[in-house]
Amino acid sequence: MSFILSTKLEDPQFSGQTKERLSSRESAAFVAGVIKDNFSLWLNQHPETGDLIAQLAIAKAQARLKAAKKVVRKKIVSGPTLPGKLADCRSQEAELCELFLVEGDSAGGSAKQARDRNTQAIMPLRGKILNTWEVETAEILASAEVHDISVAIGVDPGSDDISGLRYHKICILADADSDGLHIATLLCALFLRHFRELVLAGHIYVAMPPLYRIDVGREVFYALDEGERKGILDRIEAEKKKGKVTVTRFKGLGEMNPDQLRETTMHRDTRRLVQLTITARDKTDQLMDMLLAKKRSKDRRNWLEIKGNLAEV
Amino acid sequence: MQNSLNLEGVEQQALKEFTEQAYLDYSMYVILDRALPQIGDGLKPVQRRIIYAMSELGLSATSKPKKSARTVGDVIGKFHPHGDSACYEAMVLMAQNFSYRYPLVIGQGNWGSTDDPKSFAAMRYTESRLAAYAKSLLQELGQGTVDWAPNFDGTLTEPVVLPARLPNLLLNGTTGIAVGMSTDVPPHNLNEVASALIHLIDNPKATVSQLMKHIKGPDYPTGGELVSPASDIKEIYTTGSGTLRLRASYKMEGSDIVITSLPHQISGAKLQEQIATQMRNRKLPQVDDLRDESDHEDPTRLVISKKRGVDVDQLMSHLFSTTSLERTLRVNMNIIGLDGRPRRFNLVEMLKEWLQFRKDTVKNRLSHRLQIVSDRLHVLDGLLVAYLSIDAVIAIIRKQDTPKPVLMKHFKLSDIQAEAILNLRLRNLAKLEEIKIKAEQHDLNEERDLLQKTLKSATRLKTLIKNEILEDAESYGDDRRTIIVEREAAQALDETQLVASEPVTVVLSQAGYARAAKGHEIDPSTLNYRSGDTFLAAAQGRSNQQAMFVDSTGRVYSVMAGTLPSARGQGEPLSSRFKPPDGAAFCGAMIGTIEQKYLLASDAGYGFVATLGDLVSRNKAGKSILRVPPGGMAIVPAPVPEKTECLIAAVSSIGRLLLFEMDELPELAKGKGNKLINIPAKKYRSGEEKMVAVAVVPEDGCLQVHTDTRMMTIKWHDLDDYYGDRALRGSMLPQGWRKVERLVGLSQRTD
Repeated sequence: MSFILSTKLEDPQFSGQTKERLSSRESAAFVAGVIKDNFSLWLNQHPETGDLIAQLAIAKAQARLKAAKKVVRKKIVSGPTLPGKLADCRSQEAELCELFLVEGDSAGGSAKQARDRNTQAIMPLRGKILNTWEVETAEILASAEVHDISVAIGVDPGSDDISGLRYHKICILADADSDGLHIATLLCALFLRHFRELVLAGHIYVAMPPLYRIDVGREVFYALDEGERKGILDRIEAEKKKGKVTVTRFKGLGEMNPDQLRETTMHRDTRRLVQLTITARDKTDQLMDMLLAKKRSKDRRNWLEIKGNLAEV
Repeated sequence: MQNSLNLEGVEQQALKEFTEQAYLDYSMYVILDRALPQIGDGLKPVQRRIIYAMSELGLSATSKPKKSARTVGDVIGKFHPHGDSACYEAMVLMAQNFSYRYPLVIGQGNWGSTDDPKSFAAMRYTESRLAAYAKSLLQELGQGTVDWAPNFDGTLTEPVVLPARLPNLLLNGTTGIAVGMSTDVPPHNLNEVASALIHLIDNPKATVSQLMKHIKGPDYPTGGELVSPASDIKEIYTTGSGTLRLRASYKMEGSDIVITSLPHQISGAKLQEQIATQMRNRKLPQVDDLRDESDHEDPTRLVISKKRGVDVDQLMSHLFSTTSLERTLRVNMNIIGLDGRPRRFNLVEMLKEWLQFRKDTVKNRLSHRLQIVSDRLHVLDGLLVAYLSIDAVIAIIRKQDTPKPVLMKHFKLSDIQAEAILNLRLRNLAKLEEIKIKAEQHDLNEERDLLQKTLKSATRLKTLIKNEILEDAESYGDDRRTIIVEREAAQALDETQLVASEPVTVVLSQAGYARAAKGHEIDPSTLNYRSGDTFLAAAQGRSNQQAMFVDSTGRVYSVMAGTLPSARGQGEPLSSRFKPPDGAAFCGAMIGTIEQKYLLASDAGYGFVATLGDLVSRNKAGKSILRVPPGGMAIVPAPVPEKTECLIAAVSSIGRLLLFEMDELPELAKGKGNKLINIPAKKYRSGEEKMVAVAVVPEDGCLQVHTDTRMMTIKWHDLDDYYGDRALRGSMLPQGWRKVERLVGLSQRTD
């Protein structure tokens, strides 16, 4: 859309040598004064054309906003464009890098100390993230947490292009309690819906924190699973350690010291990391819709009635 | 969890399986351990833990209150490993006498107000202790009544449920949202529930209707009126779900309406805002003023002063329907039953299930007491034996290395009895002790017999439960606060009734800007217009009538005249209210009652008389009424006076004026109409000639002819010069008056 506007004024001032822009201040006020009434009259007689003009302006504005949000691949000077809470890793090789999305600031702190700073980046998430299952891809960036995740991994939501991916392993690290499970579900929904390519390419992992905590006297052990729990108990017996042995379900990441966290969940050799996969025909989307869609409360109720007894609380 | 490994040794799991299990675990946790209450004590885990922790801190109803932060710290540190703010909020809710029908906590300090329930002070400022009513939950705790479970880290134990002596769930109600289900139980009156329980104990087969003789309906802490019909309430109690309508109650003081109580969880401040918004938008002309006169004596006192002669019932009915003076409350009684499974209960099931719980609790309590009594009796038997031969006992103790087995053998004592004898203090050997023991034995024997009898007899157990319920009702019960009345459904007043009826002149500008000037005396052409815009048409009517606008394509749009902006500004573009086709311009304005008639015409010389009632439409795109030939447009419609004898005047662009009898023109609802004045088709198509204006002149009236700059009035008897049959060419106006812009028909002669 273009206009030709003819005005005559004394002593005009232009900016730049090629005189491509008029910079006389009074001209804008003058032109606006003359045009505004007439143009508004015309717009009101041609509402449909007016709509088109407004849409053009809106589309341009959105494109500008989007351009402002776009993140450049990390360079040495471009540090501040990354979200403030992200503790980035030193390596630039995306294939080796891992990003841990950690539940809660309190666990984020110890995870930061427990990581291998060469290849492991930590991003703490505060509280539960937005349920993005039924949110348009264009709108999810309004949520600060989702925006930070998107900026940190270097992939725009909804895009097929994952060449900008900054970490080839994105690990969900949440507490083993109920709220941690909820956060893991919400993150899965986010990736499945808006970063599908990442899931298809197998970049999404879940870090499995230990299931059991074993207290013997003053010592504390963590067991990743049933087998390891037995192993530890046997060892305790063999070494004839003193003290009452209590085995409890492990709850929060925050209760471990950084070195324990490192050994049990983050170190490459001793951790348990599970890659999440989808196949074309396993009806993942239908299941997620049933779990997270606003209008399917009834279906959820039925599902709970059938499978409620399978829960491990 | 059996996960596969891929070729590189990376453990894999389908995202579907992972999320399903994760969400399932989360859902079941939220349902069972967070959002839904347990039927026995009607508490959610966080509430139970707060109350238990407070009782452990010694914060009984008679003690001095302690800082809330200490309680919260104990709760989250010992039993409830979650956020402190959520825990404190749960505690605040239990202390607010407008949130809980029977508050469990008594607070010292700012615990929030009805206007903003979340305005409570931080937990480091406030202090709290348990209310007397909480005793009904805690009283029997140490008496072996309920199961105990280890806390989250296994270092302490906490009760699984509190041994409630009253059905707290029904008394205080609850709300909660879980996954796949939510719960809303309304609060009830203690005296009513107690009497229903007694009825149910005596008649285990009682029906909902029988119980409803005792429980009339929910009883909210903030009072108000429950206006749902009895059948609705019964339906809710029969099925366990439904909706209730709760209304504010008001009284008259002089001519003022005084609102004395609000529906549950409605903030007075928000309500005032709602009413004030309506007043600001001129949608509530019946109300003069609105004041909040709440103070310590009347916690809720909103005064609405109405205008004179306004019907109070109608006004309140309007306010009930458009503001939160009336609200609906959902009821959905999803509760965790005694079997640990969540399901929906109706009233009878709920009371029965609770009675079962109560019976078990009482039985446990009695058995526990019986055990203690029997143990003591056993010890007393042993002590008595020892006293009867005290010298032999002393000799054994003094001479034997291990006196206990010898004692046991010698006197045929049990281990416990022997231990008790060995633990005797020397001073207890006095002669008096024997009498004491015998007396105690006697008392305990009596108690044991009574306990055994009660445990064996269902009737005695029932009577005991009944008496205890009555006793508690006596100490905690109070009068009903919510009045149950059936009332007609509230009705919002029609928009036309709300707008004051004042005379207005609707003014339309050439560019399609409309406004409504007050009064009929204004001269619309002297108003202020945007540059490039001028006056086009005006119509006189009242502010509660529909103003209608016709556009160049013959579509008619309607809007309430009262909603148009005032004439002080430059008006509002009609295209912001309507959706006319692109390029269409507004050509004329009409206003009047639905019986008012207007002459609609196009510039091709065709037109008809229409009744406004036929033209009204709520559609933003208007209603197609007048068929206009392509390239042509509608012209300003002329109002038809109520007199039947009228002449129609039509003038063409070359200055030919024709007057004919209105009877010659049909009345239509839509269409092209009939020819008014003859415009040769050829000249019309070429744009040489068209019709420019029409007017209706009542008998004995006159006709004003406006040109660009001048105006003349043609008197009734002079109109004969232009009189003719319909569809004639008409006669030429005098020189200099042929460029006619407007015609106005007037009823009386003006000089």
